[in-house]
Amino acid sequence: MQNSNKKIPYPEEIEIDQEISTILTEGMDSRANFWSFLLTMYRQLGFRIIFRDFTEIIYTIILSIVVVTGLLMSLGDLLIWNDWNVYTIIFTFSPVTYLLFAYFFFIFQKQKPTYEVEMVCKYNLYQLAAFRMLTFSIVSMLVNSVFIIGLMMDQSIHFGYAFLLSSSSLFLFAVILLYVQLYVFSRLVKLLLAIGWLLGNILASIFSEGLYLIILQQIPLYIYGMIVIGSFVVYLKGLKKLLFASQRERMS
Amino acid sequence: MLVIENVSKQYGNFQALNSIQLEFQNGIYGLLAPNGAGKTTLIKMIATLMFPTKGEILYNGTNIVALDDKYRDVLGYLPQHFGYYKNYSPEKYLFYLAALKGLDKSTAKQRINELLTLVGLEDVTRKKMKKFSGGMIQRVGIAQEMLNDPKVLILDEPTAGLDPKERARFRKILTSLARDRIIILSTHIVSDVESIANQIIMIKEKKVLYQDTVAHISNQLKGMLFETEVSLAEEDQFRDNYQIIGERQEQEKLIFRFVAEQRLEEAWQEVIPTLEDVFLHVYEDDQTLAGSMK
Repeated sequence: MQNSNKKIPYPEEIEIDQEISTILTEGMDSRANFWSFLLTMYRQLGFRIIFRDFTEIIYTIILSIVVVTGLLMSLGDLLIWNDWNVYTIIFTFSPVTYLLFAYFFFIFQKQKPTYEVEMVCKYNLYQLAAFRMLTFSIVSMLVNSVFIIGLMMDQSIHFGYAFLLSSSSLFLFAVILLYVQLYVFSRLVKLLLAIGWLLGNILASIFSEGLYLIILQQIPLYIYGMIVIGSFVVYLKGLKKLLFASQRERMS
Repeated sequence: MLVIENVSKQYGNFQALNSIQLEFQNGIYGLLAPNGAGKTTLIKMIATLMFPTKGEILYNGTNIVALDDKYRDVLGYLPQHFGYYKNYSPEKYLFYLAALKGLDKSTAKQRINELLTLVGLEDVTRKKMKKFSGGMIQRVGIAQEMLNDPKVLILDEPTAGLDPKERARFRKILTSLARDRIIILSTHIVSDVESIANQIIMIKEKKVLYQDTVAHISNQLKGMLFETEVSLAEEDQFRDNYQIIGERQEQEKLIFRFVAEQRLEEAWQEVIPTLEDVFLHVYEDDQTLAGSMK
């Protein structure tokens, strides 16, 4: 009974606001999960904002198709097409479209004059970059599939195997590139990585043809399936880091 | 309320800011210091573009890092070099930024019309910005930072490149915005903030030297600032003995505005110190600055 006589001072308006804000900040994850955040962001921003450079991207897709076709044709002239294993070509060149997208349109570039203005917005460049990279990887997968279908007209290829091989290559490369983009900002490193991937595979297939083909062709289909899933999961983890880590974590 | 709590920033071995302690309520704050004093570093930390090596920045009691996008939701920022897409019109660019700031289309449309009128760009809303003057671009910058009706407005050297008329216009706009928000304006131009800032913050040797009103800071030199005529023959000796704040030539004489501990001669006329006098006095011997005046 004695306690009921004790007066508890009523908090001031500003204190109440602070307490509510702290409870909400600490207690709720307003950003929900990866996919629902992406969906909400897409609904709020729309395609034209997330891909404000859509025209340039379309040019890049066309350019990438021309470059890859040209490369394949000139390689065919130089190295005698029939001597080359078609699966080697698929594995080596599958990340090219993604590489072009990621290199030119990652958008998280500190050198960009609009960087500071865009970084202090509610949806900043990290979040846009995450959405775009995911889209780029899916578009690259589709472009690769079209290439495989194209190759099937001339070569005897097992589509399922070629698709898994291409997707393994794509996501393995995408994972490495994404982490380079997250932690090393230099464009030169990205370029070296791309050159390294292409040259490494070409040289390995020339100088160690037997071993390279054994690795490439003797690995069972389900292992490739697991590589695709595994690398895609790691890739999503990287994108999640872009999306949800606090500005400080991402910049450190 | 925004609180800078014991914040230090270090780049490798270089200490840019040391134990900065500041508090901001609604109103205009002029962050005044010469180039190289650490203004932009402090501004970028408040804008979450950089993070303190030590200490924290609190908005309404919560660390701005923890608030993350909730803090950016109430933040408006005009960087020193305002970047834009040259082929965009102000309207298109503002729509783009409004979307990134989470505004829905109809709110954005109304807000953009209001803001472009406020900054006097209502006649060129659909003209490409590549044809704009520096002053017009800066006005687009002011409009963009107000899109989300921010509670914390940060402007880094906002008057760079503006002519005197545009500076006056800019000050007028800021005053009209200051009622219900915190405005932090970083500048090395005293006249930008002298007439509009509720408080002035001066940083020296990596630390806060003053956070006070213009009148109080100006009073630091009360009774110590004088003007007198000096003949050309006495000029060098006079310069050696006193800290000269300003000077002008009239016929064969020089009129010096200078600082002295006390009035030593009848001819000396005590003058009322201004913020600029204090600024020049404080930073005259600061050798640590990139743009040191000596």
